Amino acid sequence: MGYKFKDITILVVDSQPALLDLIRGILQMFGCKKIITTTAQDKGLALFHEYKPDLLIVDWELANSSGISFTKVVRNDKENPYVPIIFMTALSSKERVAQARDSGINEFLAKPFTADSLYKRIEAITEKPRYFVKTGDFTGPNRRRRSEDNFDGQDRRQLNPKQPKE
Amino acid sequence: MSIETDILREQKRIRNADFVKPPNALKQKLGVGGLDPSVIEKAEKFIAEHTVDFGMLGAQLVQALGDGMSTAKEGGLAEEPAIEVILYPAAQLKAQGTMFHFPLVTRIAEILVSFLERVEATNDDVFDIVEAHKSALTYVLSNNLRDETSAHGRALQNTLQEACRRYYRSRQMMNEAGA
Repeated sequence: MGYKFKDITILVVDSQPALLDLIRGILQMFGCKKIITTTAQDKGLALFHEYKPDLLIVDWELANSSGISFTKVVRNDKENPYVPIIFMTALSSKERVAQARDSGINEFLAKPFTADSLYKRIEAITEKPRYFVKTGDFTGPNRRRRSEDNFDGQDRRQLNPKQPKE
Repeated sequence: MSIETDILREQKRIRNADFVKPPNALKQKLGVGGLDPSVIEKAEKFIAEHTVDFGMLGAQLVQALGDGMSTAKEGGLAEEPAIEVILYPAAQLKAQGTMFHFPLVTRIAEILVSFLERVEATNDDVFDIVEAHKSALTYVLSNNLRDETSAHGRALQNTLQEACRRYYRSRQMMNEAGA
C-alpha cells in the first residue's frame, strides 16, 4: 500500500528554472513520472489545457505575470476549475498570504521548503479535501474547515445565527 | 430607483454562495496509505546533494535587486510597484538560498523581505537599507559564506536587523511628531 504517484500528472510553474529542476527531482523521488514545468503563465495555461494535470504547483512570481492571476484564470476554467493548487512564495506578510488565499489556492507553501513540507501539502489536499465556494467573483476552496464536518450545504452561521443585541 | 436595484442585485450576487463538492481525483489516483517515510528521506537527501552554481545564480539575483532599486529610484512608479521591483528579487534570494545550500543568503534576504513588506513607500532611508543588504549579500556570495550560525553570519544579520529597527523607530517618532 501507499500513494502511487506514477499515475498522476503535475504541472509546476515557477519563474526560476533552477527551482523547477529541483522540484522536478523531488517529485520524481516521490515516484511521479509525469511532471510538466514552465516559467511563464501563458505557456502554463496552454500546458494546463493540453495535459489536464491532477495537481498544480505555482509560484507567486512568474515570467511577466503572477501566480495570483494564473490561479484566477484556472479557477474560472470551464473544464477543470477545481484542480488542486499549491501556491509557493517567499513572501510572508499577512496581506500577501490573504491575497494568495483569495485567488482560490488550496494550500500555501512557504519558500524555502523541504521535501517533507511539500509532501504534507499534497497529503492535506488528498486527505482533507475542501468544498468549493462559488460566490461573486471568487471560486476557491472553502476556508471554514470546521463547517465542513457533516456538511449539508448550510453555512454554520445559518445553523447558529447570533441574535442581534436589543 | 434602477441604480439602487442594480446595487441590491449585485450585493445579492456576491452574497449568494454555491457550495460544490468536487470529485477527489487526486485521491482516486494516489490511493491510500501515504508515502513511506524512507521515500521522503530520500527526497530530502536529493535536495541536500543537488548541486547548482548558486554563486552565479545568486549574483544574478543580487544584480536584479540593484536593477530594481535603480528603477525605483528613477521615479515614475507608484508606491507599491516601486517596492515590488525590489521585493521580488529579494524574495527569490530568500527562497533559493537555503534550497541551494546558502542558508545565510536566505536569512539576510528574509530580513530584507520582512522590511520591504512593512514599508509603505520608498525613500532615501529605505534605499540605504536595501543597499546595505545588497552589499552584505554580495560579500556573502563572493566569499562563499554559507553558515547563518557562524559568528560572522550572526554579526551580519544583527547589524542589518538593527538598521531596520532604527528605521522603524525613526518613522514612529516622525508619525508621533506629525500627530
